[in-house]
Amino acid sequence: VLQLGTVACVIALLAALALNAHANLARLGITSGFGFLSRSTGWDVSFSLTDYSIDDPYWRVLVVGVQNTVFVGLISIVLATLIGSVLGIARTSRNLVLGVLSSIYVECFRSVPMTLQIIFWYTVMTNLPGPRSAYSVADIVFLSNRGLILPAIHIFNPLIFIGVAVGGLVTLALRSRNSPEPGGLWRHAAFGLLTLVLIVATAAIILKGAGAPLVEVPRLRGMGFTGGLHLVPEFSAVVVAIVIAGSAYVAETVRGALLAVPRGQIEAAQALGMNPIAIYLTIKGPLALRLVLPPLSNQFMMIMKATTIGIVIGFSDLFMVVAVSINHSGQTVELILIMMSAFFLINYLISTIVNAINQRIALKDYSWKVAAYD
Amino acid sequence: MRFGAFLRTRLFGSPFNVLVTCLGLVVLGYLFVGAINWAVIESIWRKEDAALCKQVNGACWAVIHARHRLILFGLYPYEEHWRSALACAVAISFIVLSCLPLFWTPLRLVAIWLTGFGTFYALMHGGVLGLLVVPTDNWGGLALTIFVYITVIVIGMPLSVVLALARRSPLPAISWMASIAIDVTRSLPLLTILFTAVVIFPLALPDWLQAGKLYRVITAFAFFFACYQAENLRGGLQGVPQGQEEAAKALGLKRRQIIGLILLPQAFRAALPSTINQMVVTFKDTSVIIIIGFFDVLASGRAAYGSGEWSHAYVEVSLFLAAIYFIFVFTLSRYGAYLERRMRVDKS
Repeated sequence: VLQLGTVACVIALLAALALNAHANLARLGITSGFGFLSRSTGWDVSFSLTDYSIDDPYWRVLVVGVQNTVFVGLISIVLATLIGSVLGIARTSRNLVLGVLSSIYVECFRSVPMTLQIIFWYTVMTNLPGPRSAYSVADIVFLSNRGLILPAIHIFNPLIFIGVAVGGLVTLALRSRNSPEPGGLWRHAAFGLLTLVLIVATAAIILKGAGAPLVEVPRLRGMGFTGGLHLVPEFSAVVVAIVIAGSAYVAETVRGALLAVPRGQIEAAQALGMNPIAIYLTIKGPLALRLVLPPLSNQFMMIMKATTIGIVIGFSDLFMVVAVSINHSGQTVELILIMMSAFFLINYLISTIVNAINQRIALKDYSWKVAAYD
Repeated sequence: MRFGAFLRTRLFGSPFNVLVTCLGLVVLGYLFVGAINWAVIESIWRKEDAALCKQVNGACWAVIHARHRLILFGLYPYEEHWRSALACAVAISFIVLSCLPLFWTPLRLVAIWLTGFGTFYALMHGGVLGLLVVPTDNWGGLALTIFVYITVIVIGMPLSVVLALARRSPLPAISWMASIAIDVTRSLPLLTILFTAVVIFPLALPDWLQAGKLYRVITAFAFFFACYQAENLRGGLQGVPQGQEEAAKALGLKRRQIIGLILLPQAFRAALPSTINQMVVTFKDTSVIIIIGFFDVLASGRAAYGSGEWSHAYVEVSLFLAAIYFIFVFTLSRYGAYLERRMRVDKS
């Protein structure tokens, strides 16, 4: 009875809310439904990977938002994981100076909210000198108040995707022949590297055939830059802030995993006379990797969610695009549903992928793992 | 001898270690000297000397001297700032009090949080004891951040208990609904939840339930907090041995008594470190309300260097804001780590 009562109450509440919302929307003269997606928006975004103009329809701007969120998220996840792993290892090092340095970094950036860090880096970027007196590295990378200008590698050419597909297929074919055994971590890494080389090689060959340059160096012309990859300050600030803060979180996760590796394993290796580097690579590293993946997937999702804070400086991620769309079109309920399903899907994908990796590399006998968590 | 051993193992163990130590010391020394030079030796402290800021290489702390009231109290009426300051002090002191083991009984914790919260609200809002009424629209700065934070916890904590128990309920429909609510909320960014509350509530709620924007945001934030805290509590509940519940049943305790006297106290105890961690994260998360358009401590800090005369001093203001968050977050997380260590010792 209690159960039926609660269910009835919740359903009644939701129905009342829906009815009310419907009535209010009708009063405001907004027609529900997804028809608005094909109307043109009439406003521009601050950063887009693909071409976008103000005449494009709403679904295009939403796609741009998803692209930006995933792009920033993936770049930040990769960089934060790399930097965070190094910091995590440094924090567990026996070297006192190294430990102190990495602790300062981790504690400082972990204890300050992401919002403040994003605002800070954005203010720093917009206060940089103008293009004429930009900081530059060998005149191919420029940093100015227009953002970060890098040499462009034309990977967003549709031909590249064919290259990626071919490279991936070749690698898959190679892999299925030598099916990897547990512990074949190096083989996995070698295959990954091989894929990358294949992709780049294919891309280079195809592009040469198509007559387009693979790498385009930016040049200072007049008051701005031409050519190259133009990362606007909004984008650079979000990535810098999320990578710095995210790497501090990842470092803590990595440190926890390294400390959780059972001491007996290390001592056994030492007793066998293995040198420290070999112990790290063949015992501590692989064991810690299996411990770190589940908490790491939480950090990845945290980083994905943190991209929404980019709106504070006007970075056009999915959240900002949705917020602006709601302002202009009034299709509140539909747009919020789209945004929530997109975030749900992205996070679901992350946890599925990390879980799949985790299962694939799981050790058959995991009794030590239970002991480590106890 | 022991010092020698320390040097050998921790600093100069191998040629590689010697290199790392020396490089690290150079970096540390450079950072330290640079920071002292910038922040102390070459800096300007008083707002009367603000004109000198452009001539020195050091920090211009004069901006803090000149604008600290704006940063801490926002748009709160100038003559009433003492109330805002006192309210913040009250909030901080009851948070500190609730960290002392002396107050770790359910009754005492609830009592100090409710009296503390009541005092805070009375001081900020006024209208009692002849205090001038200040509507929430005029609240700002640190006091607004603290208000959002403690309100979220005061509402979210009981809600999390309800959600955690609902999720463990033997009735499938209830546990299923609680699971969906918790899992969906946890997979979404906080910002989207707050934003949804701001734009959907006015549409979906009848007029007599419409509250101010601040309360809409706080309600959604409290629900978000409760979903995370419910998972922490569920972890704690799972840690309570089955035998405890069975023994209580055998003694003839009612279900309400079993939950209130046996399960929850043990679950809270087991979930204490993760609860403190959640409270730390929540404090940092309050900073996103700037995006919804509230004048919290970040927004007032931004306003402090927003005007032309101080626009060069954004680093100083940012550091000041960072220090406020850092002190709170670092102390509380150290305290959490200490509790975790203590509990581990208790167990073994």
